[in-house]
Amino acid sequence: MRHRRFDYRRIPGAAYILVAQVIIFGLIDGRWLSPANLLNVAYQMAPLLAVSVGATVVILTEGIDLSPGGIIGLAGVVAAMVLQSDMGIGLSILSGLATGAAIGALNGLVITVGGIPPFVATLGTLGITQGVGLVLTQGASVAGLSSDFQYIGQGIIGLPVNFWIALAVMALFMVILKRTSFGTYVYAMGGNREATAYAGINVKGNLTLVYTIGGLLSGVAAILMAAHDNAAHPRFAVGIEFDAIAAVILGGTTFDKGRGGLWGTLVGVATIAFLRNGLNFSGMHATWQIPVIGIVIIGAIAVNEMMQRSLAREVV
Amino acid sequence: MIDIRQLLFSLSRVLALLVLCAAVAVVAPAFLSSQNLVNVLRQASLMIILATGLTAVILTGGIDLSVASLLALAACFSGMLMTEGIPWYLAALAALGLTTFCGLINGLMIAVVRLPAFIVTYGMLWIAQGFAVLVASSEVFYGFPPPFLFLGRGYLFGIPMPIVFMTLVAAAAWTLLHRTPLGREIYAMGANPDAARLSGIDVKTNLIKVYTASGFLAGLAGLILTARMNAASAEVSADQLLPAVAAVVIGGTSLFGGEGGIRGTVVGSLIMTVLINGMNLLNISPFWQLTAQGTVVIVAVLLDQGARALERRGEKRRPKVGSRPEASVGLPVEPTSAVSN
Repeated sequence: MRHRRFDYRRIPGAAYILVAQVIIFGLIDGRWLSPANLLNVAYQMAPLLAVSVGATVVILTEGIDLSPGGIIGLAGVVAAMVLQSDMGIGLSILSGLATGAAIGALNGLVITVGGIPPFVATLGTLGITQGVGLVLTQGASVAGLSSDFQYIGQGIIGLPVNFWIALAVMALFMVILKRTSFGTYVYAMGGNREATAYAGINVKGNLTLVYTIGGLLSGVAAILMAAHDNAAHPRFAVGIEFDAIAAVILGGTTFDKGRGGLWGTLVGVATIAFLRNGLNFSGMHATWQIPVIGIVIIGAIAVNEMMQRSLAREVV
Repeated sequence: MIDIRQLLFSLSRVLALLVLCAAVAVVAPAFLSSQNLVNVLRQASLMIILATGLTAVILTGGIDLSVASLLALAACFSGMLMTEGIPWYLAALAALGLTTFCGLINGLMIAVVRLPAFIVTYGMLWIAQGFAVLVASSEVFYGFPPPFLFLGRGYLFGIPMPIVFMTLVAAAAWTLLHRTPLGREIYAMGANPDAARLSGIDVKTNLIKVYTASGFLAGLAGLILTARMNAASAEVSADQLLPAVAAVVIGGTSLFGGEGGIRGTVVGSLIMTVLINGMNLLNISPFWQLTAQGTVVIVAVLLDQGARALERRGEKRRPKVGSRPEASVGLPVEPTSAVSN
């Protein structure tokens, strides 16, 4: 077991950025910390949190999933289309989740059975899912969803309903990662995949399951997003995987040695959500935001990585 | 001694290209018109220039996901500068300088900070894309000075300029990879990063060079594309990344590094261009094309892996220097940074 003592480098990089943001954006405009705006951030956070939980599991195995942006588009479109053809909300949600899980499983199979590097396999499915989504909708939005479906994305029970759902997903996977043998395998596969295989653990099967989970949680995010927007579009989540990967890494999950976990990811997701919201709030033009956010994220990841490495050098 | 199996291996790709051309010609006879064929070659030239940098990167066991966005950035930045009245050669140089700088940043982050290549270049993808959108501010630049247009539309001794550029780039890359110490080191780094480092190869500097070159070539492709279209917008990048990766992989360069080369990439680029051209001639919706490109990338890597597995079976007796134990077990290997230790 690792013994934990306090060290500033142990705190995920995201926490520092989050504090800095609260100070900076709070000084720029005090209303930023108003309950109304915080509620707004919670709405925006929910889909990203669901995707990031999946990304955490994938990255813990030293993998990567670039396909959530495409999967969410396709799953959202499928769920919305099922809903509009009067097949009921239950079937709609199920179809969205199933679409996500199916594509995730495809990712997993291509990676484990085909032996393809994850970033290429998932880059391929990113294109495929976007393409299929666009073909299904002819590039249009599927808008106007039933009110009970919208409740998932817009309702409030203290906090937004979609945020509760995302938190529940996170809690579920905290238990899975910490309390099930599958969770142990996830960390083991990231720590030393060869040793895991030699220990008699079915690496291919478990890894396929990991990517299936990634797809399934993209499906969850798709439902949350479609319900919030009252519409789905094949490209309405383009780039979300970058936010998710950034949230995971800033949250302290590392790309090697299978270290990290979901608490850090929650902080990372909050950081990204507050960053986007704060830039909006400070009146920065939307076109400026994309490169600025990219630079901030990559810069933060670099600093975070260097901190982790200096830590790793001391603690052997 | 000529390695017969390797010869067949490389010929199989040329054969695939010829079969593909014949098939496209049958379903779309317009394919064979001389105008269309020259068009295909021009199109392929751009892809080859883009894919050449990518090939060098992949040979080191890395990846550059930012090439298409850097292409768009060069297009938009040079377009904006020329529209502002800056002389074309300064605009072109500035755009090339900018994408080269972005490549340098990629290289530094990967070699010095030691972040995984796909994270850094994926971040750069969004940063460059963001800047391209910002610079273009959703307008399309057009109407550039004739000397600039010459880069994409002109002829040198009757050969279209993009093809001239492509030939120069491919020849230079081939020479670099096969006739210089740097080239050997690139292969060595990809085949076995630890061995390369331990045998005294300056892995860091080489990685920085390779990613910088990739940024430069992406910028060059962006300039030629802008000159050919006589227009620049941030939209151009969307459809370039998947085909470029596919071209490299189809060309036989292993995503795990250390195997492959420029000749294969040239053939792979031609295959991808003919495929796209054929789909265009058949009026297939661009939405389906995206799906097709994604499928081609995955299938190409699968086939490549299969062929390699067969090849390995044939030479079990003499294990290659670069072969990795994980690969033979069939487990995915993460070709992250080539300097992992």
